[in-house]
This record gives sequence, structure tokens and C-alpha cells, in this order.
Amino acid sequence: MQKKEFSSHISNQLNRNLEELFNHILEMGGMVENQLDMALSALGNGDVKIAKEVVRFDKVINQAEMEIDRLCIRVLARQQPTASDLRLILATIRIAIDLERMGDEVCKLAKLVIKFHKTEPCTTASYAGYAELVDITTRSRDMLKTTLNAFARVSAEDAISILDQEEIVDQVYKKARKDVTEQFKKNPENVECLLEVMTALRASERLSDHALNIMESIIYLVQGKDVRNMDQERLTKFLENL
Amino acid sequence: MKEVTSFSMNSASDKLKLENEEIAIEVKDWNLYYGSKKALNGVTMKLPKNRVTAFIGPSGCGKSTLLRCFNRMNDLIDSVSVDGDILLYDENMYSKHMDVSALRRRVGMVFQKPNPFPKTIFENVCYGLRLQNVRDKQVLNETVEWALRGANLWEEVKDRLDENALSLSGGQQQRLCIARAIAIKPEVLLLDEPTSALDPISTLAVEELIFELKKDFTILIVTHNMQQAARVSDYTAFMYMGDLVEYTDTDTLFTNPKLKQTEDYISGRYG
Repeated sequence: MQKKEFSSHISNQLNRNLEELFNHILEMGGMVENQLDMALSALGNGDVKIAKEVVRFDKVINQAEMEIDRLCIRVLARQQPTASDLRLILATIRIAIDLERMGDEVCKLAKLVIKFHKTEPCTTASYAGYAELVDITTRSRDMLKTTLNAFARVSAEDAISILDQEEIVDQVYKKARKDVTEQFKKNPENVECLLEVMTALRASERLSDHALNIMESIIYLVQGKDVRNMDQERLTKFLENL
Repeated sequence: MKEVTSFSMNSASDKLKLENEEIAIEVKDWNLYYGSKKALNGVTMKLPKNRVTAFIGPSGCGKSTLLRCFNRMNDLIDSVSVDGDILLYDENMYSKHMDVSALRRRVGMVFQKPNPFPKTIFENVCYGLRLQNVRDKQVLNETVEWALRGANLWEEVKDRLDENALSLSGGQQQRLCIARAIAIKPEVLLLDEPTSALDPISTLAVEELIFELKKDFTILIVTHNMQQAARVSDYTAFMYMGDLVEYTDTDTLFTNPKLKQTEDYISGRYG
């Protein structure tokens, strides 16, 4: 399947609307990517100003989701899309939801930086799990980048690499959780800060889950197959046979 | 508390499968020629009982021609010649011994334009029965009421059965024609663009009727309106230039067709 097929309808109005949907998703995806970059920067430098900017930016992302919903409803009501056009609408709605939730999770990361800044004993990034937090967030950002490229090309080719990344993220997350739990025992006085790190770790892990969801929506768009909830083995087999 | 182990919305996840269906009509390598011009090209398909099967495709693709084959309406055109087999419950429709009038009693047809006879509503509905020499007044009354109820028209006309059928609105006339077709209790009902001359509300009424009627009849419908095919049918056949291109359950055809040619047609793309 090629993207140009979505602009080859006899109805130019439908062509325009579907093009708009593609652009809106890519634009919204770009916003979340940008938000993630800023969050990484804030995490790296403990920069509260950037962290606050990240939180403020979430509103714009929420508005983008609503705009995409409105456009999808309009196309459904007025043009009754079928086949790949219909799948594009459904995939778009799902992707917009995932992007919006990614925005929320990124905010949690930014809020960690803000809270650390406020709390006296939490001024350094030397806590257990912090390095993993940055690692997972960086990987999630890269996963998002890959999925957005896949969406732009209407291709499920990179799905396997997303699956691999997701597996690595799960491993890193498990290790980080273990480390933080150890620290709970060793330094109970830092429990408040460690809880914050745990919350942020969970958020960063969720980011990669959403990136994987987006890839699943792209597979649905391209192949017409709903692969959600497919176990890892079956999904890998399915992707290898594409 | 009862343990919930899985979740399934039957209407959404149960996919129809042709291999699980009882077959009403089977078409085997069916060719039709208008003179030397081939209009149907080796069509092979099985049409399931008590289901609605829609035929879609651009003008001249052969869908109406194929529909007319199912009650031998094409016999009336001199230049038509055919080969292949069409079986109605294993009985060859085109065998020499087939009584065509009897066949048409088993396979009724409703046309694009409502065509009631210039007679009363009552006489329109019982016309087929009178041809079959049914004289019993009670049988006629009961059948007329049954057919009009079946066609979702009874409440609107029960007090004016003696009025001329031409006084009805277009939508009512079409439902009357459906009542007339089902009054003789055919096994199969052919609908050739039954709503193309109707307003949207009458169209929905007829579509609702089609949904109800499939409990008792096997319904084959030709329509130019793809949304209508998507709304009313269980299976859809896409035809192009005399070929049966893709034939599958309607959900699959309209969400994930196998062939690009089908995809291009149903989504309105340049082929």
C-alpha cells in the first residue's frame, strides 16, 4: 500500500480530507516528539523552566487530538469511507488517542523535574532508576520517531524493530524497579523522592507501550489485521510473513 | 460471581462464512452472450439461503444481467444465448424440462421502478394467486394481509384496500410490488435496484423490509448504491466487465477487500 493511493479518489474533497488527516497526525506526532525532547533536556539538566514549558504544551496536544476527532467525524458522516480509507480513519483516531496519552505521560516526567527542584534532598540525578528513566525515555522517543515515519510511508516494515525496542524497554524497566525497591529498603528517608522516580519510570515505560500501540494501528491500516493483544510470538511470526 | 473469561459482541466479531451456509442457488461457469458480445464471463458462485447477497459494480458490468438469469428473464430477449449451469436447490434452472412459469413462482422479482397494475391494492397483491386459480376468499384475504404486513405496508393501507394502487406514493408502490412478489411465497426474491426511484425515508423502509424478509426468503439485490449494499447485505459480489471479481462476506469486502480492483471501486478511486 502506498500513501499516494489516499489521494487518488475521484472525490477531491475526500483526497483533501485524508491528506489533512495524515498531516494532522504527523504534526501532532511531531509535537509529542518535541515535547519528549524537551522533557529529556529537562531531565538531563534539571531545568525547571523547560519542564514547565513541557507541562504547558500538553494543552496544545490535547487540542490537536480534538481537532483530529472532529475531522474524522466529518469524513465519516459526509463521505462514508470504505476499505483502506475507513481503516485510515479508525487508525487515525486510535493514534491520536495514543499520542495524547503520550503527552500526558511526558508531563509526568516534567513534573518529576519540577518536584525534584522543589524538594531539598532531591536535587541530584544520582538516584537509583534515574539513568534508566532517561534511557527508557530516549528509547521511547526513538520508537515514536520510527512509528511516525512508518505512518508517513504507510508501511509496517519497521514493526519488528519496534517490538525489539519494546522488549529492551521492558527489561530496563524491570531492572530499574528492582533497583529503586532496593533503595527503598536502604534509604527509607528518601522514600518520597524514590516514589517520584518510580512514578516517572512507569510513565516512561508507558510511553513505549503507546508507541507500540501506534505501530499496531499502522499494521491495521496497512494489512487490515487487528494485532492488538496478539502474543509476542504470534505477532513476530505474523510480521515476518508480511 | 460468574467468572468472565472472554468478551465477544456477536454482531461484531462473528464473521459469516460461505462454507457454513446452506446454498440456495449455485452458479457454475456461467456465460451469457448478447449476440456475439459476451456479457457474463464464466461466473461461478454459491448464493446462500436466507441471506441477502448484493451485486455491485459499474454500469454494464453484468450484475443486472446475472440477476435476470436467476428467473430466466433473459429468455425474453431473442439475441441472448447462455451456457453453464444455474442450480436452484440442485435443480438445473436451464434444463429442458424446467417449467419457466413454475420457476418464476419460486423466484420472484421486483424492479427498479415501482410497477403496480392499474388495479386496486388488494387485486395487485393477490394477482399471482388468482393466476394460480386460488378462489377461496378467506385464503386470498389472509394472504393479502400477510404479504402487506410482510412488506411493512399493512398499517398504511388496511383501510383503503379497494383504492387504486396508483394512488399510493412511490415508496408505498414499491413496497406494494414487494408484497405482490412475496404473496405467492417464492423461495428467492430478486431485487433490481429496488430503491433507486425512492426518497431516502422510503429507501430506509425498504431496506428495513429486506432485513426482515430474509428470515423467509433468499434475497439477491442489485444496487448502484454501495452504502446500501453495505447496509443491507450479508454477502457482496463485485462484478466488472462480466467477471465476478470478488465475492465475500460484506464486512470483509467493505473493510478489507482482497483485490485492489475491488478496493478502488468501493472507495471511489481511479482504477
